[in-house]
Amino acid sequence: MRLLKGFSKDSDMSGYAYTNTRVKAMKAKLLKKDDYQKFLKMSLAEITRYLQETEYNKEITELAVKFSGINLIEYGLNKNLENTFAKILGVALLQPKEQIGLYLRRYDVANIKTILRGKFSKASNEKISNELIASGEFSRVFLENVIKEASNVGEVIEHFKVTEYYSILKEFSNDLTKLEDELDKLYYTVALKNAEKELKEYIRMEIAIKNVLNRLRGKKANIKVEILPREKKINVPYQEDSIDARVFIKKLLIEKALRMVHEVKFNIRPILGYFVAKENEVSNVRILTRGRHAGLSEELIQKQLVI
Amino acid sequence: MAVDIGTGLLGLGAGLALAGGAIGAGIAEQQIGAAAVGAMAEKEELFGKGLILTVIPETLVIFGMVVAILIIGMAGP
Repeated sequence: MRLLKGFSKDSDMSGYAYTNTRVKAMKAKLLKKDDYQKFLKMSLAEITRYLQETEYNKEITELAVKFSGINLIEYGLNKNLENTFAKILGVALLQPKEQIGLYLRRYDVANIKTILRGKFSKASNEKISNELIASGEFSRVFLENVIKEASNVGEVIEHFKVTEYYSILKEFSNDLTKLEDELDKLYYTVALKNAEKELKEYIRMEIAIKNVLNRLRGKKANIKVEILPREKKINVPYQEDSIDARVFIKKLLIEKALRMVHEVKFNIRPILGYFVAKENEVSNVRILTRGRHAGLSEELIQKQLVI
Repeated sequence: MAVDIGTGLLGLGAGLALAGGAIGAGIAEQQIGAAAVGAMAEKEELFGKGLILTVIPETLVIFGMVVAILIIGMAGP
């Protein structure tokens, strides 16, 4: 039966076979545990040089003309993430492309948030533009145009008039925190509605993890937190927010993702697993470099790494 | 050239054996080929391995052909 399903319209076996193998080969090029241990002993300049010998070479070399130090690494990571997603989306065939697009829409939401926050805190246009990860449906050209033309939050919102986010942006324009929550909810609702079974399952797991993290944080700060809808139940042996609890919870997701990359399946799971692993790598390098920059101790940085 | 019904059915059987093997190999190679090209795109050195893995299901066609020849053998000279 499975064989016959391969010929039906709803399944695209060779599309997934191709994309998934490429993603598996790309997974092999991610940073290893040893690399992070080496980073802990290095200065920022040494980390930059080390990254130039890895997949980050192109972005770091390009940006090195304009930036240096922590900003160079930070922007390099953002750009590399954007290029990696663009590459996978570029090589994905038919059905994988649709599902990957659905996953990457989260960056549309993230970019809207970045621009709003940037304009709210009056950051420079260049800084906002370098913080973007233009991997969603909004192109970099469009987003940079918004940044250039809008001078305050209200004007930013007007630029998104033709998008589905406009009604939410307009409604909650006075309360940025609520606005961000509502944008997240919209993303998850749309994604859950259109996703394949496997993507749906992953998104529900992600929602659960975000909710657990938010509940712990809310408990510590003694505030009521917004709970995202349709979560999957997970058990966490921590009652209070701490670095250990946060790393433990994030590890649940990463470990699941790493298992997913190695699965031999004709669905989106290996690709998803790679995305999560890659995002985690970028986040780890960021924790490391930020930590080194701020002069934190090796133990404290290591404790926060999700590896 | 007139053949009796039995010989005709044997011929049909031989044809089916070969066709089954060929279709099976085709389905298998579709996915292996796609995956092999994906792996090659990331790492060019994998060309040799990819090529060999892609043609492994061809053995199915050979099995089909051997069975077909055996069946034809049953039809006599």
